Amino acid sequence: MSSPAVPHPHAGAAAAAPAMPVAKFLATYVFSRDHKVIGLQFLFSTLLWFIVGGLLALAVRWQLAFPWQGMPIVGRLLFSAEGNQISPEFYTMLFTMHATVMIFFVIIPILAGAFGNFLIPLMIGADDMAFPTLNMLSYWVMWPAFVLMTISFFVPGGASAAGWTGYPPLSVTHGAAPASHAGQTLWVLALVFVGISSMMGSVNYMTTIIQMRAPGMTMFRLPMTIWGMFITAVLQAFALPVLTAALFMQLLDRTVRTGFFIPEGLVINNEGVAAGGGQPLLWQHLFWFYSHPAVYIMILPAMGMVSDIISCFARKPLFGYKPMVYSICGIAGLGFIVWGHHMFMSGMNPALGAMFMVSTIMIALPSAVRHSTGWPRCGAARSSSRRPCCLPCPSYRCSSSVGCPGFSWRPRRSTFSSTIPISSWRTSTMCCSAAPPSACSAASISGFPRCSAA
Amino acid sequence: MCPSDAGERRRIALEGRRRRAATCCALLWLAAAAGCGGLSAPQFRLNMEDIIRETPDKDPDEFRITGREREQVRQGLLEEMRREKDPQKIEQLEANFGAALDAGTEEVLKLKRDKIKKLKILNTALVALFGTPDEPYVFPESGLDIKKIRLAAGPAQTVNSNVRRGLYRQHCVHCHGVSGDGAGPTAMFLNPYPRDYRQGKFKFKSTEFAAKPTDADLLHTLTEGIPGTAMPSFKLLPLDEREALVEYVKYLSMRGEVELAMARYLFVDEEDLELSRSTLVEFLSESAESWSAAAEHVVRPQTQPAHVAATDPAEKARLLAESIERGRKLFAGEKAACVKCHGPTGLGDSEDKLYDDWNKDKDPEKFGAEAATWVLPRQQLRPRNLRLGIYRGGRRPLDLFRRIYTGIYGGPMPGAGPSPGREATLSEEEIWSVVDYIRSLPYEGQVAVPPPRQLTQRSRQSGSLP
Amino acid sequence: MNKFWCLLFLAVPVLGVAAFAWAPGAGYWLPRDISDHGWQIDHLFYFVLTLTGAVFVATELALFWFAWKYDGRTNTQPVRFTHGSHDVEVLWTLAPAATLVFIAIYQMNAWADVKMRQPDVPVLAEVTARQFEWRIRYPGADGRFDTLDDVHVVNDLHVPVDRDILITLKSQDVLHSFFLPNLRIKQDAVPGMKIPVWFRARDVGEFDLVCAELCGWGHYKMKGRLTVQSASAFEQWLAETAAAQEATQEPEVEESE
Repeated sequence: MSSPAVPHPHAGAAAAAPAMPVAKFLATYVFSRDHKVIGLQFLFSTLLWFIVGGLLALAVRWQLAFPWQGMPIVGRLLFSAEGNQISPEFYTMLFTMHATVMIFFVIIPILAGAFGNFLIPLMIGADDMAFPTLNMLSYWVMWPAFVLMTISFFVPGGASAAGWTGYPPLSVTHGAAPASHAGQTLWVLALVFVGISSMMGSVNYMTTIIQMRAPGMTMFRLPMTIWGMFITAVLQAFALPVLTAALFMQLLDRTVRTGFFIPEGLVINNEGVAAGGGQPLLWQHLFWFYSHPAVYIMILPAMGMVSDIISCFARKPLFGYKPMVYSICGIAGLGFIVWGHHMFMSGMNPALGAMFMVSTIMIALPSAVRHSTGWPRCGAARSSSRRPCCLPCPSYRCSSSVGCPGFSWRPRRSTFSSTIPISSWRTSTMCCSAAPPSACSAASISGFPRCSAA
Repeated sequence: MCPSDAGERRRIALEGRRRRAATCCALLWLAAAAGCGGLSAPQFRLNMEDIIRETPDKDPDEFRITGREREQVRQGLLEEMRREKDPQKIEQLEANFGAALDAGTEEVLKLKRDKIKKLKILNTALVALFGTPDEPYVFPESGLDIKKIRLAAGPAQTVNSNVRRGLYRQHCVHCHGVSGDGAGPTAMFLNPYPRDYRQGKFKFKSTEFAAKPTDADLLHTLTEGIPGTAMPSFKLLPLDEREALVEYVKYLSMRGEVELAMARYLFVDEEDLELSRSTLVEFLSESAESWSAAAEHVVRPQTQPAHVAATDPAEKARLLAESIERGRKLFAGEKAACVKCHGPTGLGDSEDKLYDDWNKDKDPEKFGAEAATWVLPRQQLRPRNLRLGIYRGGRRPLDLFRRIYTGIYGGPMPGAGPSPGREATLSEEEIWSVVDYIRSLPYEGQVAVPPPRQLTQRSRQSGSLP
Repeated sequence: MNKFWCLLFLAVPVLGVAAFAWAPGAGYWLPRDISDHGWQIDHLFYFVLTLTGAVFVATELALFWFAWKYDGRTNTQPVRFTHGSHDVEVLWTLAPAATLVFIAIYQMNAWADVKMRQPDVPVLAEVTARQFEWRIRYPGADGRFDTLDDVHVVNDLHVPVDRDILITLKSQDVLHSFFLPNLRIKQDAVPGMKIPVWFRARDVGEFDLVCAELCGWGHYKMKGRLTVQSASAFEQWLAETAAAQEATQEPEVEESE
């Protein structure tokens, strides 16, 4: 993409070049249909939200480190009357919003939106994405989500405080949590927009990868990054509609008092709840049907990138390329039948629990194959490069090896949680192993052009 | 200017870098200064205004008229002009507008300074009598134990430190507020609101209507919680910590009552408050005496229900059934008129315009636009649904007896027992019958109490699962 | 890659193993188990920990070794390209698969014990979770729930020792979770459902009952007390509580806590 005529400070010309007309600036940098610009837009927006999520995490950690003491900045602003000590409902809001922001506004958009948009056409030899306008829209549809989520912090009751998993009846009954007023409704709406954005993007990626590869670029010559992105797109396309439907049901429960998730006879905050006839477990099934593939969405692009980076700096092709591809496809397929492992203690039929345990065991296999075996063998190359930008990959492998025992731990993990729901614990494990290297991989992007050409 | 050599370029780059670094440092410092300027000690919120809290050291005579107050005076004068019909008078007012405005603002300023002076006096008196949230103090005349109060007061300590303090701040403040005004951050989300101690009124106690609760009553509330409300059970706290919290509740309540009395004296009666020990003790004594006399006003039934004394199970069941029948008639009858509020079937669905004493005067129509700014909007009180088996004041027959006998202090429920200046509506036997009826309401439709059996010989069918 | 970074990556398995070695002595380990079937769960935990720990250490050491040995600065041998090895792929697919199948079958019994094999005993208590307390109801002398002599307590669950205990779990408002760490029992309390929970305690004492599902602002303090007592002490406590609940006179002595 050619740069517009921006005056260079060292141009030497006596007169500065004329400033770009506003319309052209908007078309080039703001409402661009170029996949690289869109990728950068995603990158910068999500990095800003990364800071927000990080600050929320800092506040959580401060409260855990110094319970019942005043909190420096936030406590002073909002709770000066109580000696800067934050209130319990504020704390529930902090960890809810930290998780929501990190998962839906940072990790998924940065991997699929930023890296996906930027790299896919480049790596498959295409000019641009299959649907450039749809691509642009998929970014701009994120903005209503950003705005709604920001507004939710300032409405009476504050932002959502029902956990990032938003389990009903806590999230759908007014009075159950302080934020089950406007904050939770805005949360639901924001996530609907995020879902729409991701669904748009996934359609785009799938079409581009299938249809617009350069001649000679067969499916089994694709870089692993692209395989990761492709499977991520498939997962998003099939899982997100379920989450969106569930979110709409929760929205209806909250606004027009339907009873999808609200059973009969609840007494909340000393008042009977009008709706009834629902089942709270329904939300859990629908939510985890998406959120389990979501953890793969969060990790597969990064896994693909790590594969490429390791093979690049080890200067040999990936060991067992086809098995790696089959593993990824297996993970994706099996990933749709394991969601119940987030619900072992939820009250669903224990026989169902046993079934999900079996499918979870099955899915541990391709993950183990890829993790513990493919990469080390690749790393057993001669003459590994000493470039610092390949450091994230072994660090990623370390941290995911720490988290990876989780793949085998699923059947029995649920017994050892503390007061955080087990899903949050597992999510944090997944996220801790995916997030740092994903963020660090941003630094390694300089190595890509050289690697992909090699 | 076009830099033409590498050295010049480097100089510009360094300058830029330095400038950016300086900006970053400045921003960080600002952020740090804004946030980390030390913990502020909380203050008791005065009944009337926070102006003392915000400007504790400012002399009243230093206060000036604000732009908004001046504007209000001006609007008042304009309104007067608008309402005036006589054109001559209007001309006169226009001519004197400036002078009238000055005079008006002088008046307002004088009243403002006067009010601030009184608030400062009020604050000084209260600090002398009770100290601050971090440094409490009590006069011996209050009858309070300062050691317990110190345990409950002050900033909360982390679990690692050996000093135990700040129990109130840790367990209670986010609902009940620093002053015990029931307006902590969590309060606005609760139904019913947390108790405002400052009126010295408590609903669930063992004493007569207008008497204070005993220490045992407060300890019971703390230990068991109040079912059907957001007040949790603090049973797992050690006894000495619970007793410290009880003492602190009394402290806050006493402080609130004294504050209310003094504020009335200063602002409504417009008297001068002398800051002498005797005057302060005079205000304190009224509240302190009512607290120490609480134990003398405990309601002790003189009789027992007939079926309690019976030993033969069949006789017991018969007497109980008779009592329940009598109670049903009394409940629905004219004498006690329970159905007026609790409804013909005890569902609490009869009356819907009831408010407790803390919400009674919060009429939004009376306060107009100000009502929208209330942190705790007016909350309706619903008569208890007696079919749920949830009794806020306790579920023992004794507790229900007391509830009916004294009514609920602070609420609209009248007492059926004797009170000063009024005869009893129901005799003790009648009250016991009503108690038996109420206790049977959640289980209506079941057979009368069957003969007791050994716990270990429970039948296989009993307590079956769904 | 640089030796420094290799050693840094070596620190991961070393520190990881060191942390796990230190933790039990420092008290950061599993809570005391007083239940009958808890040993199965603890056993599975140790088994999986050992297995995955061994794989973890092996993989990390391999990572370290390859990075150290094939450092681009010191190793000037040219790269040898291989086409991969079918046999190796098969081997390291079948080995984990066999392990996983073994784990799956091995732990079925533990799951069934906790969640499927309900003992045929009458329900001892009905626990209703509520924001933010545990309301517990015993059936009383008549042995039936929903009668006048039910014994109601808050946050104070008493059970007799060495007996199969069956509890019905309910919720009044939102999701809670009935978690007895010392009995290795956890079950979500779902509003609208009555869920049976069973266990058998081997030792007397006082233990924790905590909520393990976010239920609102008070979730952090939704804690109760489980008291395991001898059968006679339990019957006595139950009788005393039932009697106190029927009080029509002020008790002579202050209620003991």
